[in-house]
Parts: sequence; structure tokens; C-alpha cells
Amino acid sequence: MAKISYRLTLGIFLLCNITALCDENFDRDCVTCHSTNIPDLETIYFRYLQTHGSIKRSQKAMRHYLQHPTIQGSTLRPQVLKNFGLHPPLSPVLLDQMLPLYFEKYDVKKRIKLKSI
Amino acid sequence: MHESLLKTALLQFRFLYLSSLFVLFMVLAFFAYTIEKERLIADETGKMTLRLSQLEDQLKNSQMYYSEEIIINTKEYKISMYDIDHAPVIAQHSRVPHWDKITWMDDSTLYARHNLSLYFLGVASIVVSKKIQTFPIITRLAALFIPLFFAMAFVGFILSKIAFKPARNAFVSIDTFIKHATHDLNTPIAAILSNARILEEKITEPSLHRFVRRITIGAKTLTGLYEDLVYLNFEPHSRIPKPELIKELIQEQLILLETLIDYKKLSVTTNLSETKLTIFTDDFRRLLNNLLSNAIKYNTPQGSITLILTSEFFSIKDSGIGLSKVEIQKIHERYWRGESFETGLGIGMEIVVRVCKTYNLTFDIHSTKNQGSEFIIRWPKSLIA
Repeated sequence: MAKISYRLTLGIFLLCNITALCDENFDRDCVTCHSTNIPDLETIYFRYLQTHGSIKRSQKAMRHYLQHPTIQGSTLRPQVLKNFGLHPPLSPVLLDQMLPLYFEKYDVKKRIKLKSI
Repeated sequence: MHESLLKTALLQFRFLYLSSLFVLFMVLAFFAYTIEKERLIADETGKMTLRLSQLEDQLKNSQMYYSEEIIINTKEYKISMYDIDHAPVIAQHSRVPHWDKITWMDDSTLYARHNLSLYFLGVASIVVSKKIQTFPIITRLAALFIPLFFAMAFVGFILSKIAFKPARNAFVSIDTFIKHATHDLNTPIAAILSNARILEEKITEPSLHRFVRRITIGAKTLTGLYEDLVYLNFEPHSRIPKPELIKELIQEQLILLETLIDYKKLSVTTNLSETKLTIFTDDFRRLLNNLLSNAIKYNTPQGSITLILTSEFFSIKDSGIGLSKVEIQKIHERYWRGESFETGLGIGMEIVVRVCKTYNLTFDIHSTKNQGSEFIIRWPKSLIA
């Protein structure tokens, strides 16, 4: 019993640390840059949703673009692309970590509230 | 008799009128209900379309201004939003929408769907629904149609009374005439019979006796007809049934019809038990008279008549012309089913059937064409005294 409790505590501890570590990486790798001189992450998120019509499709399109960035594959306007250029390619491993965090952060399902007023 | 006939006709007419009116009103009410429901659905669809546009605007504004929270009011409608893959973004509906329809009804709930041209917040289509309340329509229609039905029924009742008045007058005139004529028949028939009897005694010439007997037979036939008419047209003063020895009634009728039996040289065989039935004497007298008269009338010269009376039934068998199956069927149709008031059908069988109905007697006919007929009357045990 004690052994199980120990393993469970250790598991939760590790999970929290990993999540914290991922959040830290997301802030360092994505937010730092996007909050200063290039389109912010929220705008991009909504633009992808508006263009592709679902979270699943948006995630897929974003993953493809970030792995193989091209002008045709970008959802940004040509003028914006001209100013900021294409996004540097990202590794699949990094995208596996960052994309779920990104989509979780701005999830529309959390924003829409149904109320009988 | 005619009065009751007229009442039956009037009742039948009113029943038919009310039934037709009811059916007509039900059909009208159904169409009115359908039209009202369609109108209600059209109104609600318009309101839903407006609400769908409002929701689209709300999503558009929240995306443009990066709202942290979007409050969607669900007081009037249930709302669900779906992405382009039909996966729910938010859903209040448990059922999957009809993706091929813009509006539809499901279990008295009206649904409307709107596809967004731009997928604001990743929403591709919105579905709103509302339960359609048809009860107010039914109440409104009932409030209109029920009083109208009763008003029309009342008008029909009055009109039928007016329409039947001339017919009633005519029936009353005929009835009065028949009663007067019947009453006036008695005296001349009695005069013919008594004079025929005197003639029979006075005439010495044997060849003339034949003619006098013919006069007697004719007068006795008229007597039977007269008694039938009296039975049908004049209500007796009192109708208290009492135990009667049926055998005696049969013998009484045989004596009364003796002249006719002798004239046709018929042989009569009887096997009569001492059965007593609790009846009104006149009813059975007329019943037996008519059955015997028919057995004599439709018999062949020198034929036979067999009368059997047991505690369960009375049977009268003749060797006459007989009846075909079609004729037996006709007797049942005309008399038993109450279509007996056509002219020219005779009133004898009418009386037989009427008595049978009064006492719950069963009436069977066994007959072969050109061989003879047997009429069997059975009575319930309750009638046995």
C-alpha cells in the first residue's frame, strides 16, 4: 500500500514538473517572440480557426506550415508576411510539445458560456 | 304505427345530419389546425433565423474584439454550435442535426440551422431549436368549432322539424283514414257473413250452395284481414300477459278457418301438447291465424297440413307450393330487417315477425319449392307458464 502511494505521489510530482517545464518552454520559445514584434498568438489562433473551420484542421494546417513554411501555406496577409517574413521551420518533436499547449491556451470552448438570462 | 315510423325516420335523419356535420367539422378542424400549425412554424422559423443572425454577429464581434468570455442567452432557444467537421463546439442538443436540412421538425420541436460564411471562433454552423406548443391552437379551434357545431345542430334540428311537418301531416291523414276504414269494414263483413249463413239455410238447390260457400270464404278472408288491420292500427286497452293453453288457441283457429280447409279438401293432422305460455292472447291468435291462413292459401287442393306443438316449439307444415331459397331470403330481408312497410307485400308476415320480436321467439323456415314448407316457432323457457 505504501509502495503504491509512493509511486502515485512520485507520478503526480513528475507530471506537474513536466507540465511546468513545458509551459516554461512555451513561454520562452513562443510567447517571448510573438508578444513583441510579430503577430500575437491569439490573432494567429483565430485566423487559423476562421480559415480552417475546426481545431483539428487548424492544428494540422499549423503543424504543416511550421514544419515546411511557405508563402502559399501561410494564413497571414502578404503585407504582414513581407514585414515579418516566414516563420523558421520547427522540429516535429517541438511541435508535439507546443501545439497542444497553444491550442489549450486559447481554447474557444472555454470562452463560450451558455446562460439562460 | 305511422307516427312511430315517422319518428324513426326523423331520428335517422337527425342522426345522419349530426354525423355528417361532425365529420365535416372534424375535417374542417383538421385543415384549420394544419394551416394554423404551418403558420406558427413559419413565424417561429422567422424568429429563429433572426436569432441565428444575432448569434453569428455575436461570434464575429467576440473574435474581432478578442473577448475573454462570450455569454450566449439560451432562455428562448436551445443552441448548439458545430465546427466544419460537424464536431460540437458547444452543444445543448443530444441529437445529431439533419445536415441536409435548414429547418426540420423532430418530436414537436422545431430546429433551424445556419451555416456561417466565415468560421468565427471555429464555428461552421449553428443550430437553434424550440418546442412548438400546439395546445393553444387546439384550444382556439375548439372554442370556435364546438359552439359552431352546436349552433348548426340546433338549426338542423329546427329545419328537420319544419321539413318533416308536411310528411307528418300526410302520415297522420293516412293513419286516420286506415283507422276509419278498418272500423267501417266490420259492419259490412258481419252483414255478408250473417246473410250468407241465412242463404245457406234457405237455399234448397244444391248447385247454388257452392256460390254461397264462396261468399262465406271471401267474407272470412276479409274478417282475417280486418282483424289484422285492427291488430296493427289499434292499441289494445290493456296488455297484461296471462298463461294461455296454446293448444286451445290453435283449435280455435282451426274452427275459424274450417270453411277454407274444407273448400280446399285439405287433411289436417295435429299433435298438440298441453303447453301453456304466458302471453297476450291476441298476439298469438294473430300469429297462429296468419300462419294457418298461409298454409291453407298456398297449399295444393287435397293437400295436407301438419301441426305439432311441444313445450319448446310450434311447427306448421304444409304440402303447398313451397318457397325457394331466394324467397326465404326475401322474407327475412323484408320483414326481419324492418323493411316491411313497402306496399303490396301483405301484412300477415309482418304480424308474425312483430309477435316473434315482441316475445323473443325464433322463426325458422324449411322449404322446398313445389314440395311444401315448414314454419317453426321456438320460444324462450321464460315464456313457459
